[in-house]
Amino acid sequence: MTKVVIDKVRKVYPNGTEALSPSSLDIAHGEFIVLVGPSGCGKSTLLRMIAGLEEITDGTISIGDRVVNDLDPAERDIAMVFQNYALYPHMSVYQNMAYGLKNRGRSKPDIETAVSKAAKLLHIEEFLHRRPSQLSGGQRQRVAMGRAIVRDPSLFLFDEPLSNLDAKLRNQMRIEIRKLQRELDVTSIYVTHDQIEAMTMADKIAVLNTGRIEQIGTPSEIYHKPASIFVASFMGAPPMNILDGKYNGNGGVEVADLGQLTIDHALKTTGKVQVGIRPENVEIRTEASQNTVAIKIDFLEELGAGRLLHTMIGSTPFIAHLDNEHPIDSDNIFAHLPPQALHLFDAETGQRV
Amino acid sequence: MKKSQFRSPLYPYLLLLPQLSIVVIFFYWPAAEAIRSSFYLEDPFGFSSTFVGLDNFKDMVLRSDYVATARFTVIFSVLVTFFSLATALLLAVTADRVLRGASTYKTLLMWVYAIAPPVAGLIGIMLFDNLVGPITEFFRTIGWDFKLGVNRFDTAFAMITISIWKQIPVNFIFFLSGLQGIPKSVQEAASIDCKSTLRRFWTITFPLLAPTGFFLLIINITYSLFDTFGVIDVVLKGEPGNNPVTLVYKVFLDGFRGNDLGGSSAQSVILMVLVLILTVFQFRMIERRVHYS
Ligand SMILES: Nc1ncnc2c1ncn2[C@@H]1O[C@H](COP(=O)(O)OP(=O)(O)O)[C@@H](O)[C@H]1O
Ligand SMILES: [Mg+2]
Repeated sequence: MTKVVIDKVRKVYPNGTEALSPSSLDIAHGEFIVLVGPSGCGKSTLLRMIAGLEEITDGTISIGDRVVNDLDPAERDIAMVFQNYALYPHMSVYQNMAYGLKNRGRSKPDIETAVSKAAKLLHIEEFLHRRPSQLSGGQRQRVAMGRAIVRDPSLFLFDEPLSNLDAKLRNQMRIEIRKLQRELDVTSIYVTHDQIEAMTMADKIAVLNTGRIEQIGTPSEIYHKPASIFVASFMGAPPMNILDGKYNGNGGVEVADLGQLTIDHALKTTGKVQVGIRPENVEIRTEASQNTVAIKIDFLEELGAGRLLHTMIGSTPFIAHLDNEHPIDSDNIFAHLPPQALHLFDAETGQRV
Repeated sequence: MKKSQFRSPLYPYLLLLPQLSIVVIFFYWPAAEAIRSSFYLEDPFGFSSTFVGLDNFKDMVLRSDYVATARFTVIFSVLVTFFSLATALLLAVTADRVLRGASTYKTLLMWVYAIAPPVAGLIGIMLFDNLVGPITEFFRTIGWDFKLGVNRFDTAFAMITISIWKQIPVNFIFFLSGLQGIPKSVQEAASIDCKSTLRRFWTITFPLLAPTGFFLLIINITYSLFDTFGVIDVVLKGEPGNNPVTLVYKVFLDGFRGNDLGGSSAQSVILMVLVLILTVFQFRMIERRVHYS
């Protein structure tokens, strides 16, 4: 049973950059957790501290029931898959996979069994005697995975392992990694800047922003109840529409260029707010009613399975996701913003209210 | 590749002419001359010469001082090559640990390459000076009565040490850039796979440095055989006496001091063959050099 506890961990690099302010995170056994956030937000820093590749400035990290702060990477019983795969260029695929086992003093037949089992799982048996330079990107990726699973570690760490692959392969590997992880039942921490990867793969997502964890939750929680304006706009494609408004104290928000929006719950704040609505929650109507606004279609983006309607509300871009059946009469249309679909955030703090 | 068109077919040869004439005048012609005179016995005043076939070569290998010099040259080269490579590697590995990511230091260290070898040679010789050299001084305080130019062993010791010392900066820079060429993530992956730093060095770092190492090995053998002439000459101050010298230095001694042009030519022909072998070896290595990517 491997749970991981990250307790008020902080990282300050020698040059003074605080890459991670004190952050805590609990990961249960077998969980697949994704650290997601824009580039430079500190995801890799956190992952590398867990791996032991970076010093922990403050706080403690435990893996299983051991505090690992002072353990070497090799003693932490982890395996890591790097973005550029980091295969040993002078070794064959077999040797790459066997290296960690050999250094741990495993017997030759033992190693052979482990490697061939992992190779079979990843369909790389026929490449075992090739050098990494003789493999395609996708094959190298598999070897990197193989090198990780062959050791049967208690924790997998992934640092953007799919970002060097083309889109099709990426989708395929995404599913494959997840299947493999479930099969092996190994706790995993996966770093990515791609919110789609995060949504599709994670049991639990931690969204990071400028060295802070903004929210921890299931993909559904993150998507449907974003804790801050940052999470709301980072997760989801196309992103959530955000409008500036002012809460009037009794169930309504004044939005410039739109009028008054009715909301479904009372707010504690009385100041400026930001109102968010996901494109797929916007309804297109042909007549005005409560919570509607007349719009002009700037552009219709055909997606095949649906369409994206691009418009402006005042000077703010606004997107609605429409299904295919919906007929569009471009002269006379209104966007309806249902009260229960509105997300409200304090304009000052960015927090959900 | 795109072919350029010249107006006259002779034009490209005309452009090559200056370079070719330098090569011919300063390299091929003397080489050919040396080969020719290695088959002749020349009288000391250079008025006449007699064709003697392979006699010069026969004499050479039969003379005990030639064999002794050859033996010393081998020892000298092995020691200089080994220690200058090993010391430089050790220094480069240490520097690499500090340098990861710090590019200012890197640029500073590159200066070592630009200024160090000649200066290092001079400093080295000063260190061993019989009267004021601090190393000589130091040896005397620990009871080693160090006599440069008098005691064979002491002289050899100084020659070897200065030669090593002088070559370290060059090796250091090559090793350092080789080390910096190893991706950080590969080292990190290895640190997860293997706890022992030493073992990681021998199984990951060292093999990945092998191309650099092979290249430097040839460079250093060539250096120890040929480019140490200056060091030896300064150490001996032109007075070899009873002291050991290398084969290259002996060519100079026999030819210009002993006026034995034939014998000295024969010796230099042997050295030429050695260079040829080294060069072929080096090209083979470069061809076969594994490119990791
Ligand atoms: N070795 C380092 N020294 C100094 N600053 C660093 C170092 N590594 C990363 N940083 C800084 O720390 C922050 C977080 O980096 P990182 O964890 O790599 O971000 P991410 O993986 O989320 O893109 C960035 O501002 C980055 O510039
Ligand atoms: Mg990163």
